[in-house]
Amino acid sequence: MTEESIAKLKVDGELSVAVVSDLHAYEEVGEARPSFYCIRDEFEETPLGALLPLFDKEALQADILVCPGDLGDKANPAAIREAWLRVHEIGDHLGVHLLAGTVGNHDIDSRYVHNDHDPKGHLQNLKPPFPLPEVDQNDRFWSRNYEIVLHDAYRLVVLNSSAFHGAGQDEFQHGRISNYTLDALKQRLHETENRPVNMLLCHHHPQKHMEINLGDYDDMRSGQLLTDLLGNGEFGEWIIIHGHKHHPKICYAQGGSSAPVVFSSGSLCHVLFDELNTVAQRQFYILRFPFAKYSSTGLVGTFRAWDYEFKYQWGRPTRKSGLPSRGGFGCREKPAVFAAQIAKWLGTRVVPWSEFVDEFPWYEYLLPQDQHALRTTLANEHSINVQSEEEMPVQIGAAS
Amino acid sequence: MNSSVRKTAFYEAFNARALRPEEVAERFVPSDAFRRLIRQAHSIVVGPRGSGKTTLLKMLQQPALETWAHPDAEAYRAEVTYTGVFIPTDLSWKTQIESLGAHDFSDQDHQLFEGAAFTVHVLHALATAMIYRVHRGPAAFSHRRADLPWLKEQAIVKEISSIIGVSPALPTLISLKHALGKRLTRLREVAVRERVLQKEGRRERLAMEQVLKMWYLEPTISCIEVFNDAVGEPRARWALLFDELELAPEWIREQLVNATRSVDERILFKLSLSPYDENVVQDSMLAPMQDNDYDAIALWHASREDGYNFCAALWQSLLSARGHSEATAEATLGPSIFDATEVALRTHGAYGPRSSHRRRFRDLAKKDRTFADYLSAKGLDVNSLEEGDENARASEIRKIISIVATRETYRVPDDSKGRQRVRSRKNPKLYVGAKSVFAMVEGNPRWLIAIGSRLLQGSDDEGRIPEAVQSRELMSAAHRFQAMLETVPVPKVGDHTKVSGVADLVGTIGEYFFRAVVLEDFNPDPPGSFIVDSNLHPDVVSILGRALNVGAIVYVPRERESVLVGDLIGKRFRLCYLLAPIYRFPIRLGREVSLSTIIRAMSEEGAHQTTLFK
Repeated sequence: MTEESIAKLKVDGELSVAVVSDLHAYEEVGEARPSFYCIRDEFEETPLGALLPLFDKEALQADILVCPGDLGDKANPAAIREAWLRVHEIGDHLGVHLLAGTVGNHDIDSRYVHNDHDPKGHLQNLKPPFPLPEVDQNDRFWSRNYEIVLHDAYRLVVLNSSAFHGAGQDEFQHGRISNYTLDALKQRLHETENRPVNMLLCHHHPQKHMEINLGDYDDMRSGQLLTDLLGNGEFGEWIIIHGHKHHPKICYAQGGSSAPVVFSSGSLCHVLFDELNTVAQRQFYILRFPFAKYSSTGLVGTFRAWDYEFKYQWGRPTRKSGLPSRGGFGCREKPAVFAAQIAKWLGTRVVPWSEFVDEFPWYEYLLPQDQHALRTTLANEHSINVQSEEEMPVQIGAAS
Repeated sequence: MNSSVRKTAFYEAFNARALRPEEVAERFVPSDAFRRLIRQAHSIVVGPRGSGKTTLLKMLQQPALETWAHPDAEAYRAEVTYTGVFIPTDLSWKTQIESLGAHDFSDQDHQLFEGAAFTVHVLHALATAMIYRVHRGPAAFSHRRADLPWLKEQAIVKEISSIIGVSPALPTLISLKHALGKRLTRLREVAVRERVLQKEGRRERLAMEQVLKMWYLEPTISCIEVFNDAVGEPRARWALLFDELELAPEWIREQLVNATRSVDERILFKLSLSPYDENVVQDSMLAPMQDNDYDAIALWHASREDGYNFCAALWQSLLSARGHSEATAEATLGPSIFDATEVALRTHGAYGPRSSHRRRFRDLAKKDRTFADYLSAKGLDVNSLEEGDENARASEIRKIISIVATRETYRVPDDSKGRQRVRSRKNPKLYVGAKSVFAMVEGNPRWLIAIGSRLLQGSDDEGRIPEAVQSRELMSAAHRFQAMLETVPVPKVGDHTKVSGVADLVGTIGEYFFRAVVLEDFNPDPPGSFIVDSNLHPDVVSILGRALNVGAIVYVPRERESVLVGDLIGKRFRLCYLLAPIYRFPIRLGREVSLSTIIRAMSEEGAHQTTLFK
C-alpha cells in the first residue's frame, strides 16, 4: 500500500473496488477457445488490455482490484502466470493500493494434467506473490484457507473455496468452506475490530445460483453457514464478491436484514455457454463504498458495469448484459413504502431526475431489481412513470 | 446502388454522419454554399459523396449553432431565425420491411410501411428539435431558446400526443420522443404479423392499422403550430433538413421535392441529394422549378478558382489548430504552376531570365519540335519572353503556361531513343502549391481536412510544407481515390461498352487527355472536358452517373443550366482534379470533346497503348 493512495482514500471517504473475474486465459489455440484472452495475442488486443483505453477515456481509478479466481483455463501454468502479471498491470493503471486474487477451480490442477503430485504449486510460486502481495499473508492463506487484510476503512477476507480440490474424488466439482475454516474465521473476526466496509472475496457462490437451468451442483458447500456467520450482526455489514458462474447478479444472502450483499461477478472474457448468451455478457465492474456516511446509512454502495464489445472495446451494458451500467446495494427499503413517500412528495408534478435523487438519495443504493420493483409499484399503484434515455432515468412524474 | 456505394471508403473517418451536431460545429468553416443554405428559402443541396452535404445540414441544428465559435458565427446565427429539424435518411425505411422477408408485399403495401416509417422518423426528429429548444443545458452561444414552463409543456405534449396518436409515459417532450420510438417497434410488429398471415385479408387488416395511416406533413404542421403558440411565436418557421435523400424510396423523394412548391409558410424544406440518379429523370421532376421554388446549391466547383476562398479559410483554421495562425495558404503551400493569373505572374517574376516559366518554355522548345514551331509561328522567342507588347504577350503566353508545364514535365526529347516516350515521374512536383491543392480537393472540406492533416504532419516550424511532401501526399490521396473508384459497383455491362467500370472509364478519359496535352503535336488548346453524347451506350451513361455521384467526374454547367444533372446527355463534364497526378493532365478546364470520340480514339489505340503507358 502506498501512503499516498491510503491518504487519498481517507480524504475521499469512499472506497472503490474494481473487479476482474474468470479470465480463463489460455495458451494454445485449441479446438474451441475457452475465452477471448489468448496469452499469445497482443495484450492491447485482449479484453484485459482493452480496459486500458477505457480507463483513460473515462478517467477510471480504484483503490483495490480484486480477482475472484479462474485466472487461467484448465490450470495452464503459463496462462496463469501471464494473466496474473497482466492483472497487476491493470491494477497499476487504476492506481490501486491493493490487488487481491483468490483461487478458482480452473487455477488448481486438480486433474493432475501438468504434473502428477502438486495441484497448486504453480500458484504458490507465482510472481508477484499470489493471491496477496506479502509472503506472510499468503503463507496464512495457503495454510488456513483464508487470510484477512485490515485497513482503517475496510476488512477484506480472502477465502480459498477451492482449498480441497485435488483431494476428494469429486471435490473439484464444487466449492467448500470446511467447519474448521469456519471456526477459525469466526475466531479471527472476533479478534479484529469491525470496519465500515467488510468484504469477503471467494471464487464459488456461497448460496444457490440457479438461473437459466445451468445446474447448481457447484456451489460452496457450507456456504450458507458462511453467510449466516457474516450476517449475524456481530461482525459488521458484509459484501461477498465471487466469480465462477459467469452470470452477473447482485442480491442479498438469505437471512435477516443484515444478511451480506452477494455480488456475483460476470466473467471478464469467457466464451459464454449457450444458455448464458442472451442474459449475460462479459463484464468489468467498479464498486463504490461511501463509508464516510456509514454512521447514518450502514453499508450501502453503487456499482458501474461495462460490457466487452469485441474489437477490443468496452462499452455500455444493455438489458441483456446481466448487470446494468449502474446500480446500487444496501438500501433495503420496501418498494411499497418508498413508492408512497415518492407519490406524496411528487403530487402531479414531473421533475428532472436530478431533483428526485436530491430528495431521495436512497434510490441509488437500491439493487437493480429493487429499482425495477419500485418503478413497477410507482406505475401500478400511483400512476407515476420514470422516463429514461439510454437506460438512464431523466424524468419522473405523474403519467399523462 | 446507393447502399453499395456506402461501403466504399475514401476518408470515411471524416464523415459527418456519425458526428453529433456539436462535433460537426467544432471546426466548421462557412462556405458560399452555407451562406445560401441558411437563407429563409427552400433549398436543395446537390453534391457527390463526401462533399459536405450532411455537415451543412447538421450545422442548421440548434446544438451545432450554439457550439459554433467561428469569428463570423454570430452573424450566421442571427440569420437562422428558424428551427432546424435534421432528418437522416435511415436506410431502414426501405430495408427493414424487406429484411423481415416480406417478399409477398405489393408495391402499395411497401409504400404504406415506408410512408409510416418515414413519418415516424420525421416526427421523432421534430420532437428532438423541440427538446433542444426548451431542455438543453447551458450553451456557449445560446440560440433560439424557448421558455416553456412545465405546465405548458404538459399541455402541448398532451395535444401533440392526441394529434399523432401516441401515449407517452410522461407528459414531456422527452417522453413524446420515446413514444415515437416505440411506434417504430409497433410498425415492425405489424410487418411481422403480415409476413406470417400472408396475403389473404391483408388489405382489410392493414386498413385498420392506425400506425399506417399517417403521412408526415399534416401532423408536422399541426405539431409546429401547437409548439409555436405555446412559446409565443405563432409565425416562427421550422426547417425540415432531409439528408441523403438519394437513399430514400423514389416516391418519398419526389414528394419532398414537390413539397417545395407550396406548403405551409412555416415550413422550409432543405434537402440534400446526389447529383445523379438513374432511376429518376430529375430534369423533368426538378428543372422547371429551379430558381422559382427553391435554391439549388451545388457543392462542387466547375472552375478551379471558385472554391479557393473557402479552401483558404478552411486551411487557415487547420493551420491555426496547429499553432500557425499567422501563416497563409500561399506561404505554407507556395505558388501553383497552374496559377497563371496576372497577379501570380507579377508576384512570382513571370518571364524574366531566371523565372521557372521561362525555363520551362526554353526546355520544352529544345526537346519538342512542334512546340518550337508553334512559338516561331507566333513570333515568340523563349529568350525574350518578357519583351514585346505586354497585352499580346500575356494573352499568348498565359493561356499555354499550364500546357507547357505539363508537357515539359512528362515529355522526353523528340530525338531520344527507345520505346518509352514519356518521362516517368513518381511524385511530380507539377501539382504542388496552394491553388493546385485547393483545386485538387475540389473545394471538398472532407478531402481538404484529410489531406491537409497529412500535409501538416510534414510541415516545418512555420507551417511550410516542402514540395516533396506535397507531391507525395497528393499522389497518395489520388491513389486512394482511384482505389475507391475501383470498388464502385456498376451494373454488368457488355463488351460493346468498351469500359468496365468507373475507374476504367475515368482512366480512358484521363489517358486521352494526356495524349492530347503531352504526346501529340503541340496544341495550345487541347481537349480537357467532355460532352456526353447520345451515341453512347446506356451502360456507359449509367457508369458516368455513378462516377458523378462519387466525385470522379465533375459537372460543368453552361450558363443558365441547372446544377441538377438529371439526364446526362448533352451535358459537359471534366475529370476530378484529384486524379490529375495519376492521369497526368493539367489542372485547367480544357476544350470539350464528345465522349464517343474519346472512347473510339482510345479503343483504336488498342495494344499500342500498353507500350505508351506502362
